[in-house]
Amino acid sequence: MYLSDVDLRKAVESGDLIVSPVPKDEIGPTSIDLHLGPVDEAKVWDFAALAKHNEELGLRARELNVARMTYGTVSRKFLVQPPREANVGDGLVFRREDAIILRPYGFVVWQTEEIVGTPERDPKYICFIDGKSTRARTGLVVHLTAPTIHAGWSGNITLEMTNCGPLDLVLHAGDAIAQITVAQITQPPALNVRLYQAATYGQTSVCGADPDSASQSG
Amino acid sequence: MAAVQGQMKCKLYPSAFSGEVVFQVTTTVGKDYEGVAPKHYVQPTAAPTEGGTDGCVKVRVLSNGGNEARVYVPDGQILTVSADKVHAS
Repeated sequence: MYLSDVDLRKAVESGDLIVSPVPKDEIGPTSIDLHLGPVDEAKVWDFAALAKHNEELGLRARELNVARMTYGTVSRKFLVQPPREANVGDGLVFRREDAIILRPYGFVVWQTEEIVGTPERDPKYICFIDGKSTRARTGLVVHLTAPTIHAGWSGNITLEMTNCGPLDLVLHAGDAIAQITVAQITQPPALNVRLYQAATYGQTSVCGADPDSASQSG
Repeated sequence: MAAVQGQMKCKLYPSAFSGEVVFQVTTTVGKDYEGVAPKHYVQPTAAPTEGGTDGCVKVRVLSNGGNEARVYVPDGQILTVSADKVHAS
């Protein structure tokens, strides 16, 4: 059962749906708009660095073992800010002042301004990210095959954006670029059920204060 | 499968994005795993250094057999790590 605007507002107000900053007027009949984060958060693959790394390992320059890579390692080494316009060459993504230009078939990874999701404890909802129809008509794809924000997780949403249209698309921080729809789940996942029982045989804290006390505001 | 929320000792590194961090942990088979987590899932919350910062990441403890613990980490992977890295919160 998908939530209407009435229930979306209630869910945000109750904390059962996390959208931070809280949306003001951008709740549609059954969705909430999301916006692009700061322009410095736009990232592209550094092919040259990846090629060098692969060469050192005896691998082919542009290949990535996608199902066996360790994403954390790869992303922090090879996802970088797009080049400036003067340096783009035949690249498909570049930065001009505060805009990112996405040429046809260009690919950029960019996080949303908003932190979105549901509380870890007893989550009631699951969220799905999708594009906005008017943007889609330009050929802009804002996510690739991974629309689900699983119950009990929250964070900035990483958009995998590509331009399937014929024009160069200009993107700015703060652009309303995507939306989420929210559905109720039948019951909290067992993974999220908090059992107040010892599971670590009396170990003391490994990291000081409980991270539950950490801010959810990111 | 019921789980207990917990913390896992790890090394924290900067991510490509300011809203997340890379956490690194060595599993019981001696393999390093590096995943990503939103920064409010880790401690300390200050941005980690390029060389790595000791810290913790929130996990869900699926089982703990005494020497080994199976944990569900924020990027959806299930890892088996030394139990002394894990604490139920």
